[in-house]
Amino acid sequence: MLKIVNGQVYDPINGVIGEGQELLIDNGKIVDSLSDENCQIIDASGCVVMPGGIEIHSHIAGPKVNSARSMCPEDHYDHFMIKTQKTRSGTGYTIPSTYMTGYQYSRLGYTTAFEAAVPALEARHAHEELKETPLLDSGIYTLMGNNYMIMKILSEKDEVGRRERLHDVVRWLLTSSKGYAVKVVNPGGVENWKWNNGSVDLDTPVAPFRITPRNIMIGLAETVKELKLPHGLHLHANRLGETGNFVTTLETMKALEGYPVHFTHLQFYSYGLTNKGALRSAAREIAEYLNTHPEFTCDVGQIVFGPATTMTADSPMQFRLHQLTGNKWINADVEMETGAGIVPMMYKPSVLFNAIQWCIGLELLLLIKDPWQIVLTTDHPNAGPFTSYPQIIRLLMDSDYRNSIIDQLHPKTTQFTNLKELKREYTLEEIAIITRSAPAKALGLTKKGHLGVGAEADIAIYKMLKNKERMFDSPAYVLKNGKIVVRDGIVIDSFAGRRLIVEPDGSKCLPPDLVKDFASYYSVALSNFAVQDEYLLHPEVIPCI
Amino acid sequence: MKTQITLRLKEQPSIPIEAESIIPENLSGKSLAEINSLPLWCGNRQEKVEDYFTVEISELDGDSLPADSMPKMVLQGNLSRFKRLGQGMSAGEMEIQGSAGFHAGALMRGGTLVIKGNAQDWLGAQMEGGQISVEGSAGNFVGAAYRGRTQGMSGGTILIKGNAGQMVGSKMRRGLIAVGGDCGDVLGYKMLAGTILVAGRTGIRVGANMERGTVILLNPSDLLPSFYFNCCYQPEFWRLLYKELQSKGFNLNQSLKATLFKHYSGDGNEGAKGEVLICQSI
Repeated sequence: MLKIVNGQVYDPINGVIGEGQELLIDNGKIVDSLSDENCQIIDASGCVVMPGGIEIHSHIAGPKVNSARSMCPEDHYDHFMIKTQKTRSGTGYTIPSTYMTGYQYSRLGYTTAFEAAVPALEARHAHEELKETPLLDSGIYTLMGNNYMIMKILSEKDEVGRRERLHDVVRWLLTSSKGYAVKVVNPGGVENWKWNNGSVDLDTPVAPFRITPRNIMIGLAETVKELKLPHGLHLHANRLGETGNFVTTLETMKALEGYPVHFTHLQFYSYGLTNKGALRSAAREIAEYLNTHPEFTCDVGQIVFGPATTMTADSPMQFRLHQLTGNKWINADVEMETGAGIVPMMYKPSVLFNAIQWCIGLELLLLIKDPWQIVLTTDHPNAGPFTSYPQIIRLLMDSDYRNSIIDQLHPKTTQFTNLKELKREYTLEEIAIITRSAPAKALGLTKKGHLGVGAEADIAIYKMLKNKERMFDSPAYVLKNGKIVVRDGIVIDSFAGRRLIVEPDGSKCLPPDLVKDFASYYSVALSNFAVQDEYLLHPEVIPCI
Repeated sequence: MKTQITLRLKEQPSIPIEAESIIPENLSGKSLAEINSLPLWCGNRQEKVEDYFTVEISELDGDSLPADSMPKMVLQGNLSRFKRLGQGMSAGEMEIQGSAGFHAGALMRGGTLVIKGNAQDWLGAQMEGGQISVEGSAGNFVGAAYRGRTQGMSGGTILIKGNAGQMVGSKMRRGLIAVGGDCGDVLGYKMLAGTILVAGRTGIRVGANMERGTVILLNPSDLLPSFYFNCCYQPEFWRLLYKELQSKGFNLNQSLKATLFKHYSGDGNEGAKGEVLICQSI
């Protein structure tokens, strides 16, 4: 039992904005009364109390993360932590080892994180790594946008049968991978690239079934809606990182109106084109659309200057990046399901393209009026490491600081961006929304992201400081399941979190005719495909309602 | 009067020791007791210099150097199980009268390191300045970049009288490596700039992926098809380099002083701004 007193509580879901409220915690939950008044008391005077942070999109576990670790020893030489009595040692900056990932999230006040892209075939590996990533409740998104079975079904003529069969395959993929949401990465584009064809747009017919990315997205979005999954379609759309791609992005949004969709790392999709073919910010166009469509959510994928490691299932994009930068590259073909690529990067303020990308992310955060629609991410480690969140929070809350950084960018940056004109500053309430409450809502997690009675006691307490970067970089206390795990920015306890999964109603088997395809083309037997229950230490099923 | 610190090996360790604490600036100005208690990592155990060495501080006679200059360090014995000797040193003089282990003189910034015996892998890796002389042979990755790093040796000189292993000067950025004997495969791999001279024979794929820089071979060698022959000439800088090497005690055959070189450009896959010079007269 535990009591937090004297803190200014920020709990936007329950409408509590900086009020001095007492929080009572018992058995890992927030309760309305304690049986024993002589419990441990945390005096949070001069502190801000918020729910634990929720990471909606991050690459922290699975084969591609691990391949990146082994490809980039330079990421590990200078960044390491020494073991303590409670914590293990670890290395890595943009791709820290599993334990270090857990500790670092925790020491920012984050208590939940989702691994954003896992092929069902490789899900076992992701779960194994998440098992060794402490202090976080976690889950994985299962990749489906370039899945052979799904594309095959979508190409079928019989409309009713097609819908049923699609539901079956999506349920089968989700439950065999023990996934939480449906992830789509460059739908059709990866498969098309495997057939040695070029980049795809919304209506490009894709080999081998001649269906279009539009078909794939709508088919899956419809299924997500009908299966009542807690999180919408998690969409990494087509043409990521291409100049002028905002046209496709807007088209995609219009095509998906009425469906539950989360547009991820939207910064990479808000690229306009100048008359001379150069990059300009199109954040305004995207933000204007989202401001009139409150049903959509997105996360930003904010660029952080410094080293990053790009890793995605979007293998054609990674190939282009490798050709562009000349940096080392890993490419993988994940059999029937997807591809993957990894390229290390360095974002520099002196490079005009990078400087514009940086501005676009912040413009999105400042121009989208409703903070419930946008979540803070860096698409870790693609646009930068998650450990930079405090710096981004300062950029949002302090316009003088923001302008001082803009002045250090490439001198032409302001010609192609509007960031300098934006005067908006985030309030603490809005920060609590974009880092906690909005992701909880978008993910359908009713016991997270708020501090009402019945909520999980995942709590972050920050000392109120003028410098918001320092404030959010070193929480005074972090509580996970009602236990103090971080004190004054130091991790003092370590234990495994829960694994969040879904169990949609209905058959979870692969349709019989596709079993034959599986046997012919997969490198594993169907009986070995599904992740066994033993891989999940503390599973928690989030209901589909 | 200048002092000399002598570390005499008294006991071979059972496993290799991380000995990066043994560098001149770390020992200079320290008392005997302080030197004796300097840390050495043996696996996961922290031990002390005195566990393996007998330390002696003596005065060098007949030396006119001021007393406050850095002491000369002499290490005696077979130190092939001591890694990182002279790693990161930036000044002073260190002489190993015997062989040295991995990473000797790696990340070195200045001063001189003399190894009378053999050196092992990663000799002078990513070094920035100073001079390393090896009387015997060296292992692989001399002056190379560590895994994942983009630049190897970025300054200084490495002189090896004997042979060297594979990937000598890989990703080298600046400086000079001279090998008196033979060397292994992929000499100067992905070299960015700098100079490598090999007096003996070389393995396969000399200068593969080199972007710039100069590889001088005194013995004929097959080159990759991505290297193009340009001309036969006597480069102006050769006389200077010859003299420089001579002055540093790296003696070459007198007849080479006025030799002609065949000039090849490469690697064609990387823009062919690098050059390989092959001695014509041998």
